[in-house]
Amino acid sequence: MTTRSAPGGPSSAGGASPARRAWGGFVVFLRVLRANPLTLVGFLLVVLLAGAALVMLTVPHLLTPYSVNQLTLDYNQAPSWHHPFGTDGTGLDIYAMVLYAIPIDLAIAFAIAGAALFWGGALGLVAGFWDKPGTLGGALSVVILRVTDIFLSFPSLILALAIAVSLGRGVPQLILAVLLTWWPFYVRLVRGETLAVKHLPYVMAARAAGVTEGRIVLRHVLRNVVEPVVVYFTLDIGTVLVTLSTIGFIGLGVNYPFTPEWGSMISYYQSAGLISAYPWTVLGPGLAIFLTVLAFSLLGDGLRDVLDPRSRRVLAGTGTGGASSTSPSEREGATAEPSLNRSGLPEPIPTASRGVSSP
Amino acid sequence: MTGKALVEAEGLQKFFPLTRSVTDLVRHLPRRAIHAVDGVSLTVRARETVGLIGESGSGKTTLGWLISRLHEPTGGSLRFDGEDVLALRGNELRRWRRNVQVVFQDPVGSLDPRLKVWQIVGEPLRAQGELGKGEIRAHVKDLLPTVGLPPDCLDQFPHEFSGGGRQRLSLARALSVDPRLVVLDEPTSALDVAVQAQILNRLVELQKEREVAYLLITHNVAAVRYVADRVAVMYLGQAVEVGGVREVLEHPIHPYTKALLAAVPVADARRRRTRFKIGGDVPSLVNPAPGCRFAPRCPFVIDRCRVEDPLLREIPGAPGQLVACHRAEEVREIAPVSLLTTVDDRSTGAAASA
Repeated sequence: MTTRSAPGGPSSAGGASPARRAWGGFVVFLRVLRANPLTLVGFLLVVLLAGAALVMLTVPHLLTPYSVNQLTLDYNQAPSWHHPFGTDGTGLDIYAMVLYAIPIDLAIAFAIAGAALFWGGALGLVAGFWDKPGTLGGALSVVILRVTDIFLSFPSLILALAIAVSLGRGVPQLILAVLLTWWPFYVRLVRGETLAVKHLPYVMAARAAGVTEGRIVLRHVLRNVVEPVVVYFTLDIGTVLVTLSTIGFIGLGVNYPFTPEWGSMISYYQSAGLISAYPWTVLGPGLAIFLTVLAFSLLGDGLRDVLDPRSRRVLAGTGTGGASSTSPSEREGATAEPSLNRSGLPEPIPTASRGVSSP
Repeated sequence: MTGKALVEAEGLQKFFPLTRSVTDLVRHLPRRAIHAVDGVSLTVRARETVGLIGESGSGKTTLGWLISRLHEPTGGSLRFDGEDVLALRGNELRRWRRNVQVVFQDPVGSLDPRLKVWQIVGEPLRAQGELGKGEIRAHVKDLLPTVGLPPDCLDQFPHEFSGGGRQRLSLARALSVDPRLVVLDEPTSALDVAVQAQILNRLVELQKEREVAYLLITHNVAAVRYVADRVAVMYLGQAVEVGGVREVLEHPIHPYTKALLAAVPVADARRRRTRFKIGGDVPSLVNPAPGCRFAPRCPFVIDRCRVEDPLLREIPGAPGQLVACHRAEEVREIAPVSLLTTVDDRSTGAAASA
């Protein structure tokens, strides 16, 4: 692992234990963060969000004195020390509702992007790797891609809205509606990456080594496809959130105020027509959406560096480790081994002395 | 030095079908295909090195991949150690693969950037499924010094190595399962000249130590002269001349071999050089016309060459040298100089500098 060849690190040649490998990865990650302040901001925001979500699920009263949907006696209050984002006409504390929405919004976004990644990615991998015409895999590939094309040919937001209308309001319905329009992007993405990777010589080398096709897919193709896909996934969380909010804004999302969700919150207060009088009601959820999308976008860009072993080495500052270990032999060989004539080509050895065979 | 036949390829063919265009369909034209390898017979004996030379697109690599069963041949037969290799399927084929390993041309692309040295070099061992992780690491550690790499780089990534270092990794990977034949697909063409020489020297040493046979695919005639015992010359998917390296390179018979060898630059200012120019372009590999592939460009062409495929045959007076040319006996002694445009390098050089 990277840490072991780093200066000062133990340089054992033994196998890397999973714990050690994870620690090494973490160290690299910290170095990437140090080198890239924007990624650090994104990372801290995501950690903050995750922490807040966890707290809201377990001991919400650490962050807010109010329970979900608890009405206060203050209504239509401007932001104050007691109500950081103010209150609405029924006395709901906006700040509390925004906090209670964190785990729900994150869960919905991850569920949608995650399921899309899983199904779309698996289909894309199959369609990309087994695409030889005239085989079973080729036929399957064509079916997958044409269905994907059909889904992609609809404007995805309109399709999601249509599905949301037909399914009705609620969290599972919302997830399903967005998911149904979301997976085709992952099919296209993963298929494209798979096509690029599967013709690389190292895949051929694995085949020549006798590695089974299934193992080639998992060990060589998937591992080299994962990096851009994970980066895309992280950036995609933000996009899903915006789509969710849009659906919520139109009024087809979850049922606020019974379920707190940012997009639906904005929709609810906006439809009351009182934005100009009580603008803080939409300010809180709007800010939450903005920060969450920003956090994942910033983090996604930095992830690319963490996942690529080539940039890892550069960031870890041990770039000369490998070169110094190979070049001595090269240098030593250069003086000892080759016999060069002026043309720069190896001196021909008289073939007769090498025992030419005749059939 | 060399033993009994290891690889016996008979009339191997590999056609890559082209998708039919709309105009072809409308005109009811037959399906077209690229005839990358079209009826090549080649024998590689145990412990010998066969050089495979020819220009780009002559089917050298495709033939190498056919012999290592990375391509499924369109036709012909392939025997390895007497066994019909083309009949092997599934697990049998996978077990057979330990006999024939490949070193690829591209030292960057042929190593998975996400795997460490021990995983890359140990991959064939792992695929054969006989050894555990610890044993593979130990084996790789022992193997690395034999290709000239330090044994302590097991946990490095390929991008930490130079081009020569990567090609050594490739070589170590190929040798890890003790193959009987290694197909070297232009193993040195991506490397600089000094490193090329090191790799070639290492190959020669390893062959002595490990008693492995090489099929060296290259367009570097000097490398073939240096390393190979026998040589096969390919042109447009066919072997035009096969024989001992000295016989073929010193006394080429086939007009194409003569032309190819005359095109190899020699850096020697004192030597009066005549350059042998082949007229015309390389014809298309798509559904080639019958007859000798070289006929459109050959200065010795006769009508027979355009209708009848010449077969590889032994020429009286040149034992062990197989030539696919109808007029082999007649053209044998003809030096390329006498019949074609010759360019005196010295005079043109002087003219250029004047």
